[in-house]
Amino acid sequence: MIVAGVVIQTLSGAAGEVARSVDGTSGLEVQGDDGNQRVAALWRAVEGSTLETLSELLVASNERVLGVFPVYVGDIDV
Amino acid sequence: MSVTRRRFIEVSAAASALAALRGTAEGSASLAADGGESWVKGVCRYCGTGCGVYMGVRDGSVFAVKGDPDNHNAGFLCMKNFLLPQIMSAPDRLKHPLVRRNGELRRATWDEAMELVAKRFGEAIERRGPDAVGFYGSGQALTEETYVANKLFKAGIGTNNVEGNPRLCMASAVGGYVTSYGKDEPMGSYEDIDHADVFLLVGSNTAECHPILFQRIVRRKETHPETKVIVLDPRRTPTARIADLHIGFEPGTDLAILNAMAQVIVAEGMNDPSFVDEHVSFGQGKAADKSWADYEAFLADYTPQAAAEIAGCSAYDIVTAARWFGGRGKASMSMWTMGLNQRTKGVWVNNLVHNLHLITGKIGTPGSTPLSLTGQPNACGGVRDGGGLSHLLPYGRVIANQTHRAQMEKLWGVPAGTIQPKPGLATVDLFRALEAGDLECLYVMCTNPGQSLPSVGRYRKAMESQGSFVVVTEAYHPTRTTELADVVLPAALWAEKEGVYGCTERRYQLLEQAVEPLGEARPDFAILAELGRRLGYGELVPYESTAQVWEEILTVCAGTPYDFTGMSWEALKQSHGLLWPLPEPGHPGTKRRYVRGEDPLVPSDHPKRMKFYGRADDRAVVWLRPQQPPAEVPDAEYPYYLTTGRVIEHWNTGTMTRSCKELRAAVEAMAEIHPGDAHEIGVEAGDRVKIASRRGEETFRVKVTESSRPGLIFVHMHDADRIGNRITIDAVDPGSKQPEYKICAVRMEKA
Amino acid sequence: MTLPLLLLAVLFVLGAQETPGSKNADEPQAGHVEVEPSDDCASCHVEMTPEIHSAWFDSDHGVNNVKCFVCHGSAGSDFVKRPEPSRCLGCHGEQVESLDGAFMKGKDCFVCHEPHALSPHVASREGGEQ
Repeated sequence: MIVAGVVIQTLSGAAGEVARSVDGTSGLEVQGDDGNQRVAALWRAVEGSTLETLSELLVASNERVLGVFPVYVGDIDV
Repeated sequence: MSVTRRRFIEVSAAASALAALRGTAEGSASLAADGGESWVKGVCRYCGTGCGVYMGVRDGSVFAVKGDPDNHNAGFLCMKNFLLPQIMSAPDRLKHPLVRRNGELRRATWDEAMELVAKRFGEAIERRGPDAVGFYGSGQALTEETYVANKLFKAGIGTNNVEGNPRLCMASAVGGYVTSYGKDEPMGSYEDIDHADVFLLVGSNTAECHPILFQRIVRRKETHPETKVIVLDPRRTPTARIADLHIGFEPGTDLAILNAMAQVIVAEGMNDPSFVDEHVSFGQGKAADKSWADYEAFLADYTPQAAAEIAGCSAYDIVTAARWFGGRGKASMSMWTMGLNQRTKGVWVNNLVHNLHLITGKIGTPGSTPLSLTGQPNACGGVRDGGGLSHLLPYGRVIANQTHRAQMEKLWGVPAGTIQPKPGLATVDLFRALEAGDLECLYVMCTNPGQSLPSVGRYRKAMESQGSFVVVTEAYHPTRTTELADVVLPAALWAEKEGVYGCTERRYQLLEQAVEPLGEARPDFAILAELGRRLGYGELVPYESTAQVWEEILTVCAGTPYDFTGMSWEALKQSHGLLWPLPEPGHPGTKRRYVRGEDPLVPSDHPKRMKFYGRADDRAVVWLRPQQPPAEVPDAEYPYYLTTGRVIEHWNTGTMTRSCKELRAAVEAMAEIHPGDAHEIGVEAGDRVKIASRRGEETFRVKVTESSRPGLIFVHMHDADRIGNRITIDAVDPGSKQPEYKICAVRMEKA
Repeated sequence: MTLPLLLLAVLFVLGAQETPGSKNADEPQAGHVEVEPSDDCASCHVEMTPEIHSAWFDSDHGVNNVKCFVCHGSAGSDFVKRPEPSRCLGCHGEQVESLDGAFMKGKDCFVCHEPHALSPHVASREGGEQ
């Protein structure tokens, strides 16, 4: 199980809206946003490549999302 | 309390993500218009390429420049442009007026300075008539500024002694266009570069002097590798790097080579008889009364072998160049600058380039055009088009033409007969009049003749002499000119004012004001307007803004071959440059002049493809111009050729670029010599040489390079401390009055 | 597998304030050796760092005379070994602005565009403009 802290980059001013719409979907748990263009979230996935694919899907499906950037990735399988 | 590993990782991940929300790439990459930053649209301050820019403004100053992706330069800039913010805050920016008292320039108020200027000008005019005063302006001034000066001096004061530094730079190109086509200015545009199959670069070090145009040629060659580049230059410059054929030759013999190319084109049947039949006449001297048969007979003297003998190059290369240029179905584009213009045969050699296009019909179609490259950002818009020379009036009108004078008198609201019927003095003559005492007062705007005039020593004395009263408006002090002046007025610089610049390809664009002028600096139009008021001509120059001047300019261009009445201030503001003619609002502008269907001034039902409406018979002229030598060639006493020019790092006399720290490495002007010559006089790289001509001498450090030609010395022009113009010759082209900076005879010895 | 990943991620976060994505981020900026003010960079670097010189000389920047000091400053106190992306701003405004976007977050131009050849992305070559 991979846990990643990610920043979701959005269009200017769209952070709040994106935060609300992605929270709870596909393993995403929103932690907060900067009120403008960045959303901080926790993302749990089975493995790293799942995260990659999910990121791409998110960018492709939500026109307000410009990109997903992981800032911290951890493996919680002990 | 224990924290599970899982919890630890989750908390860390969450915390990191949140922390990253606060971390922004401070300063550098954040370019949004937030946090008090704005980006103002403008134009580069330097060469005639006229690249569009956005100036980044923060806290009242320009902190960055980026290219305008929607302008012709597609977002690209050269290094000088990129470093422009540094010129604004240079330590030698002039903030206050200066007046010379007891031999020294001291700070004065604007009131004191302007009162003195008005008094001295007024007195000279009173005592000796209007021709006792003169104006020497610049291809770097805004169009509106040259317009105000032109109106004030020609229609107010009543003298035609209105000149500008484009006389030193573009006058022969003007003469070439006017004699070949009837009107000045190129008929093509930069977009032709994207369609050309063959480039003829002659007398141009495009790589260093018009880098963004060079880059466009490089891109064309990269995307279409079969494109051919021919470079004609005595030196093997960085431009030759992309040449498929470089022809080096004895300076001044390019007339023979160009005639020989024409000879080959005709001999091998690459000429276009039907184009010539429809659109071309032939001429010699001043009369267009020759025939094709005369031209063919004339060309007989210019076989490739004969030309190669004269020029010191290979006949085979001339044939190759001709075959490439003349190739059937190939679009051929020629470009040139000072190598052709700064010559006593400048107009003639310009004609010969036009001849190649006219006899092959390679003109007015995509990629086929003769495009003269302009040196300064507004030589075209302000001085050439605006008529800011001693024989011109605005927008294609000339002093010598009675109808034109009457038109301008009416437009300017002055009584008939106000404008003198005789042209004034061209630049070299103007400074000689100063020397002789016939001219008493000279107003110098935005240029540096104390460094840039040929044979400058003589004219420095003239400016310095007791009998001359010289006023200089400048952004910097000291320069080689302000140090000689009686009054120096602080002028607003580049981003500190707004107005229109017109560059090489007939593109007019608006420089928007980004910041307030430094100290007490004022924009030149305002300084001129105040002088006008003080001299009693306030009603001629009542302007509060350059926008107001522009409104008036639109009325003056209406109905002329330049007609850009559709270019309102607002239209310019919205656009990224517009190409004239543009006769009504909403018109897209003109990429190709003289071409039916593209030029709004050619009737859509015109029977032929092109109409050279600058001439009464609608025909362009192929002029029979023989090879003749430069004014001064090497001899036993002065055995080397001297030529002068730019390097990519610096622009003109360097007053602006020398303040940019990255450019300081190249700030010292050097003499570039061939290894053979270095060996002959016993010098190595870094040694000093003294170079002397009949007019003066100067010392330079030497750069030994294969790019130079044996017997030819190339000296950089941008250094106030090593002035090549002490040595250059002030002989001028009889038609254009442009000096021959590119060729004179010198001796050289180890210093 | 876990530890290196963790380390990398931590480096990303810690490195956010400096030139991110760079393994040189912790090196102090070295000054340039003293040279004559009028010496051409190429005159030494052709011999001292020939691969760098030819990588630049043969590239678009070399052909177009985008000389060393455009990116690195002069050899004086303004010399910088690894330029800030803002130095690319003059010509590549849109690309520099894209560093704000998520894809480029924490990286600079040179992570993908290797100095000194600085080749563009292959895809944009087709069609001519980039």
